[in-house]
Amino acid sequence: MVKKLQGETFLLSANELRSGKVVFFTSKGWSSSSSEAIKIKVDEIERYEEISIEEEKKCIIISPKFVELDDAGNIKTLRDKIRNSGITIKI
Amino acid sequence: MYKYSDIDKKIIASRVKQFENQVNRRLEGRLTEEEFKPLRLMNGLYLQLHAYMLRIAIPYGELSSKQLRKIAFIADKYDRGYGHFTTRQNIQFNWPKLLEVPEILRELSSVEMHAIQTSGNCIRNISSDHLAGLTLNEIEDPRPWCEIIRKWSTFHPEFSFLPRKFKIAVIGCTEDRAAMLVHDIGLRIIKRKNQVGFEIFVGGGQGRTPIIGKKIRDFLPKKDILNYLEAILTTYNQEGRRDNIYKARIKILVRELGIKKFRSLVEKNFFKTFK
Repeated sequence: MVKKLQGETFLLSANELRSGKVVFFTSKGWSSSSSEAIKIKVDEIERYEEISIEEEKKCIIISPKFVELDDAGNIKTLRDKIRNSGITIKI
Repeated sequence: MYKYSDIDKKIIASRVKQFENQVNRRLEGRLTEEEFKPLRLMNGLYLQLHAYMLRIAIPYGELSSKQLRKIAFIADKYDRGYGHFTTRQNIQFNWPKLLEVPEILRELSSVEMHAIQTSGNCIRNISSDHLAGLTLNEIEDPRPWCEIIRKWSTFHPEFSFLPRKFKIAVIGCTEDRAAMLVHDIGLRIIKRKNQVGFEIFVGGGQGRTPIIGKKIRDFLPKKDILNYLEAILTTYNQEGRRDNIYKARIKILVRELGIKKFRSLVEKNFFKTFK
């Protein structure tokens, strides 16, 4: 999970195993709100990777990933922006 | 419209039960995601950007009103009130919960539907002309042929682990409303000298390498169609690449070998099927 990472600050995200919904890791556990997510420095990645492995083993989440933030603290890539804010069309 | 036999009903019911057991084992941690993923994919369940996605087969795009109502019921009860009809005549639900997927499959089985072979490297749902059986210049209704091929390909032991997914379309007239030419195999029902048979195309596809299918047979008597499909699939199974996902589709194999060479391999396998 860590190998391809570029950048300085990240959020830890995943999908909830039961519902499949997108979640972010906060100080109180997993939340669907990225604004509450812990901002992780690049040198803290390994610690949070261990947390994600444990959370996967507990069958809480699947498919964990680190979401890169830009200098202003916003989600950087379009894919992750869409993943965070939901579908881009009104249904 | 095809009606399930008692055996069909038993198979689908036991498949739902089997998947329910697999989901429970996953939720209890007795199956890892690595172990569970191929099992869920065999039942049409993906994990996508926002959530799980369940793809349900609509054989050759034909739905009864009872089935359509059941799909609407599932959309309201288990999803967000809508579904997505795909270009290959299936329907996808984009927000199902893993825990509820076995219930959805059980609901579908009550109207003779399922999600088997809507994912994975196998022969997918057979698609056809949406005007099949209605259009004036049709040589023959392609839907019975779709059904014959569906029955032949469902749970086919030799073709359940192909190099990549495999899509077949059948049409019965000159207008290609099913986009038959961009399928792995495209079949067009034609008439030659008062005999009805198939004109056969192979190696079409869309995606990152769009290719128009090449004609492999001008005419094949219809009685031989399953033997010929078997010959194409056998050739692909033996010769297709498994080392690179982007080069694993039959369109790449046909392009690399050339249609002449590919045809000669298929014809050799075709004649073997009669021995």
